[in-house]
Amino acid sequence: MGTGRLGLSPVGVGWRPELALAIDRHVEVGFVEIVAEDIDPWGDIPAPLTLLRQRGIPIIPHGIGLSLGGAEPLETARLRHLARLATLFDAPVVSEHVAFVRAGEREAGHLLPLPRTFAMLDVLVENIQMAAQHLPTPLALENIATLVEWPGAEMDEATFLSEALRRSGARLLLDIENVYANARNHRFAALDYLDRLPLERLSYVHIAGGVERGGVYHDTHAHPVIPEVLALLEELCARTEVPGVLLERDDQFPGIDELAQELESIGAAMRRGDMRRRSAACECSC
Amino acid sequence: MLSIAQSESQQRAVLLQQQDALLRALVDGSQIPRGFDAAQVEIAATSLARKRRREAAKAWPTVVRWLGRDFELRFAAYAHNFPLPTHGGPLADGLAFLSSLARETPLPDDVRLARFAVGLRYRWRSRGLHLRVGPAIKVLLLRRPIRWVIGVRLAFCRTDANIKIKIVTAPWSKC
Repeated sequence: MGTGRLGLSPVGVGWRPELALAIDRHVEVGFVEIVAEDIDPWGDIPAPLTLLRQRGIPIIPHGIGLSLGGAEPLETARLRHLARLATLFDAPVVSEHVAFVRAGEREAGHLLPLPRTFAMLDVLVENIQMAAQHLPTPLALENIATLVEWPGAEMDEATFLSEALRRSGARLLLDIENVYANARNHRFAALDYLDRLPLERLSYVHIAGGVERGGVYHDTHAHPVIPEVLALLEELCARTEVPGVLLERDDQFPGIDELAQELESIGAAMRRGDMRRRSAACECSC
Repeated sequence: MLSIAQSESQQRAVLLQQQDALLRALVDGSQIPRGFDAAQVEIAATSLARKRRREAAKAWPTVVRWLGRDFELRFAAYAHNFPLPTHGGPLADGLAFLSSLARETPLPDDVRLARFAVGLRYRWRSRGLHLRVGPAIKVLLLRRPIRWVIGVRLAFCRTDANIKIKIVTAPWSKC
């Protein structure tokens, strides 16, 4: 597969202090992501991150608190923080979510979905463009998993996301588990969703584990990746060249062996999809 | 041009109202805005509350060790009355939780020490926790055994090398 457009090699892990040892010593990791809000770029940088940087492992700042889909203008202090991290780690890209996390004086503590209306799209695109002006690197937007749907949608999720990318010029961070979660919980066809995205804008992919509770699939980042999500990743890789896939784990951290095994399953799904794509391309040209 | 700008700001005002209404339904049990599926909102609200509690627990392991099985219940009671702080995430949330607990019961020494260390790095300002930029000095008296803790932040710099914490055993407690 080689390295992709961002210089990423295929499989990465979301860097967390609890996984630092496994990432540093025992696991072949192509790239990592840091949660932007957890690192102070003007303060102490965790030593394991400095070591990864010295080894030439790409580090991508991943924001969770910008509220790109918020109705209020973005906070410049948060943008300065993200920009500084990007410069400090010489990041190839910075990523954030198509979501809002606060309104007025209230914080959600998590990513909340946006109403899929034209009015929302205007505000979202304006916010993305403002963010892009402050950042030294391209910005990639991530689709979120949502348990609650807004009434009065004027378009479906694939259209909303594609339009936001097209109009803002941003890149795509596709969370394949979130596609699975939303398709399952809100009953749409995941493959159709993939087929309608501008995959030429794809920067990298997120994958994570989840669990079903009471008939609803929850994107927990605390459980192993389920086979259905790996199958969807294979489908994605059969459709386009995927520069890199990053595993997110935020709780109930696995041991070193379990983490290595999980990364191996991800790599295997990527290779299967990649082979299908290559053989299809070969059949076409032969 | 003015009318476009006006309509954009109106658009934002309407959206803010809608997002705020959903957020209130999710985090403080306000009335569910019209058109939303009540079951979905309930599931999402439970999930948000669980995430908030788990993250605060992760940020404050000493508090979890102290409260044990009571942590869940007491945090839920706190979270019901106190919204998530605007800055500082789970660290700030846990600190506000401790302040609410401290009004009812004395905090054990290790918890007070953990809170003291956070207070040297951060300050509480306008409903959130912000990194300190200036120097700071703090003193804490631990009870069992009696010890003085002196903490100093030396300079206008954010690295931890500028923080010194010294624990002094009171001479009379040695005998």
